[in-house]
Amino acid sequence: MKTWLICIDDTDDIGTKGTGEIAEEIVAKLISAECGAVQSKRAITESVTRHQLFVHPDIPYTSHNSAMCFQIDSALGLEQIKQICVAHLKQESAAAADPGLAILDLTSDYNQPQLIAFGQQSKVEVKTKEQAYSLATELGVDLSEHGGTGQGIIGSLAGLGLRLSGQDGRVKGQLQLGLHIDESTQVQMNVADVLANTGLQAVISVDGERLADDQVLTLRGKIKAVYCQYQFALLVAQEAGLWVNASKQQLKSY
Amino acid sequence: MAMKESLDIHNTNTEQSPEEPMLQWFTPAGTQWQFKFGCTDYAAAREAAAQCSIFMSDDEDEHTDNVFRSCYNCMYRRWQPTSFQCYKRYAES
Repeated sequence: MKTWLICIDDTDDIGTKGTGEIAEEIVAKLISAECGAVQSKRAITESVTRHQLFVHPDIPYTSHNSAMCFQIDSALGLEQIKQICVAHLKQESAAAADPGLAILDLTSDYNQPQLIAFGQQSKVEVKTKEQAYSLATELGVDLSEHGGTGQGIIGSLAGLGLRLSGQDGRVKGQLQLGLHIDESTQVQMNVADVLANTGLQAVISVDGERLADDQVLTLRGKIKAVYCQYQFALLVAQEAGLWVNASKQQLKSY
Repeated sequence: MAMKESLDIHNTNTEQSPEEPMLQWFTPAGTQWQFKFGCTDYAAAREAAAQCSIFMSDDEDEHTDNVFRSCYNCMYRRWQPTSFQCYKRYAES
């Protein structure tokens, strides 16, 4: 059994299936290939995280330039994993897309700071395919392109680095608390109950403070998580003396 | 003055293109429209989306506004460093 970190980028076009959804489907296929069945509920650590990359006129992204990353424990080998990922990418990517795929064996001996640095640089500067392939070769990352210009390899490699930084990414999807909550209603739960209900690892404020288990939270609207301080966390903010789940505007910086 | 009023009346009677009201928030820029109000003017983005005939929600994970009907949440917006462009015309073509 090994732990793998996988990232895809640039698979969609306006009006087509999103990269995040394709990533979710790949996770399900990998689990199914190993277990023979689709799990109804996955561990939070297998969640797909969305990583924002540089928005710049020289970068040919569709609408937001983000990569989708996930970690998975699997007894499958690299070739089997890659085959499943590639088959799904080819099947589901938009015709106009430039898909890239990066696969990293987290148990291998690789230069993690170098990969993290590449990810962080990719948020603020334009990177080239040559730079991405060169670094991937040096670090032992399996990096491959699957259509179009293959430009997505840059984001897929960067996404690995950003996820490894432990301080980047919004978790795809919404958290289920077992209660009906919408924009007009709110519920109060303490941190321990939120963690127990969602599988999250922490509740962290927008200022980086980790909240104690008995701290009461006021939850409303869509409950979204982020990856910060190496934890899958609920991001919260102070509002009129209450701890409330972060707004979309506050989540944007992740 | 009389001449100006006459012109205004004439303009009011002219049939408006369905796109014209959107030009309060956008400037034509090639085949796209440039949003005039940047990345964080949520009120403007909501007002524009309320008037838009082809608003289409992007994947919820790409939403950056808590209010659903907002140009910031629309599939046809393409983010730029300091604002976004609308692909509305592209989408209609």
